[in-house]
Amino acid sequence: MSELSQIELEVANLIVDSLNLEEVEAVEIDPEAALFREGLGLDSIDALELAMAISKNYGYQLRSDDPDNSKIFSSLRSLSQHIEKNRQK
Amino acid sequence: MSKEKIQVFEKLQADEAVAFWRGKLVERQQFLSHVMQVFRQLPEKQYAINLCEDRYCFLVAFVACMLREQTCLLPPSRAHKEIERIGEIYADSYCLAEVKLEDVLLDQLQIAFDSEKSCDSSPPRIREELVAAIVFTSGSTGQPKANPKKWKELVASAKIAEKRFALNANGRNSIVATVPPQHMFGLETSIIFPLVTGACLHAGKPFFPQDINSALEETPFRRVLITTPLHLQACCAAGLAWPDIDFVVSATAPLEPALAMEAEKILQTEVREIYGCSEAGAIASRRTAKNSAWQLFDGYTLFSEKGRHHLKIPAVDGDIELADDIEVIDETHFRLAGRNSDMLKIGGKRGSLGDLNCKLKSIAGVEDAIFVLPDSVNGERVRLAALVVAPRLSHEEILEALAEQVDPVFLPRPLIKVNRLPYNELGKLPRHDVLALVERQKRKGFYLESA
Repeated sequence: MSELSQIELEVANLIVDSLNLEEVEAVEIDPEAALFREGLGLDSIDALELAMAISKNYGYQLRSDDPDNSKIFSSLRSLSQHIEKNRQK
Repeated sequence: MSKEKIQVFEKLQADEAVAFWRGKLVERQQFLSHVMQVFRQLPEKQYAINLCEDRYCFLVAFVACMLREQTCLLPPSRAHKEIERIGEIYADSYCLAEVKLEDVLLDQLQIAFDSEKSCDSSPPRIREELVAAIVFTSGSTGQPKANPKKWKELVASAKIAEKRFALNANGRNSIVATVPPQHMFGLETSIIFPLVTGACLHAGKPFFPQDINSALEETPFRRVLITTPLHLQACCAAGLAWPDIDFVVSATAPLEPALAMEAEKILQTEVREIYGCSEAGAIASRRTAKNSAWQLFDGYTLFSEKGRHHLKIPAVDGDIELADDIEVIDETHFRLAGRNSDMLKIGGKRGSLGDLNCKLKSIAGVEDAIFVLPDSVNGERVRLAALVVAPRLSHEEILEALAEQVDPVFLPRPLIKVNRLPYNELGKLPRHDVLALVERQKRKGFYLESA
């Protein structure tokens, strides 16, 4: 498992807090592991809650017709990179 | 057998739009051409498991199947095991979708049609006694429970809803829905409303607030949003500017009055809530920001028998037992007194604890297991937890085997491995003791490896 960058740690904390994953430590999330189904095993309700938290913290609205979505959500690392690139605040 | 038939799109002229699909309007005659093209592709079978994700393709396939006197089977989730189980029960069936389905072992048809083509045929008339759809819910026995819907029942219910919600009353409405057409609420509102009332279907299934906003924005007619409390909550929090909306309808999970009020303020419209179930479809409605009482659909009647509440719907033969406890106020109004304790509703998906327990215990290597739904604190969303006795399996192996059979919203978080379940001297598992054990194990940190 590789070290988390600052933005990855920030997004990891956001995921843990907004989804009440009380059993998960942000620093222990594997940045390369899948966020949905495998890995953290997140589901569609989680995606919606995560989208709310991301828009609140970064002023960026996720879209489901984004063709890159499966890539964006594939791991903590790619989600963090996507947020970094598109953040409004 | 009754030979009476009811026409689809009886209110639409030939050049009027049926749907908004891929950024364009589809006129009635184009739609009918699409239906006929798909009609000719259908195999000689009795049942089609309609898995179309594109709502317009679902509609085309739905009408083509009705014309062929085929019944659309609508599974509660896209979990492979669930689809395959339905395929086993209904041997004379095939899967139908607009894309190729990976990993599905049943016969499948990938529908395709030339979208530019049009035709001169008039809208088809469908035999009213035809079972147009069977909507499945998770039963308490581990087998999916079938809820057959006749064409005449779907039509009658849509006509009552049209009047109740004043659909198309101020000009044609266009329906944007965040719920899938395979769900009873999504079927009634986003597929049957257009077929019966002439409202225009928006083909998308917007999910995030920005998607919902864009779908509403691009809709060519007066807007109606069909959605769930979860989506409404996300929309309220998104800080977006919303276009004019005639009204919103929410269902699939209870809508908190506070959220209803907030949504009315932010979306600048009325938020209606539907109470219903897969057995009966929509039964009653209320404007949740203003009323706690539910108003029954016109013509529906409630009666009690042996302590259970039953519903009589004019278009439906026989009566329907309600799963929830209700408090009858008068002939046309009631309040909900509480949900039947075996039934679960998470993220709009209904399941039964009994069914989930059966599925968990049926996994090879699982010796004993029980699901429990902890109480919600401060209205926070709670996840199911599960205690499992399975000495030879890892958390991951159990979760993986379970994920093949149930919707992801029902996967337990946490899943805790224990040496034995807390049976009392009567051999029962009191919920209170199960919850206490979950809490104790959580504090011990036993479940960390499941994360």
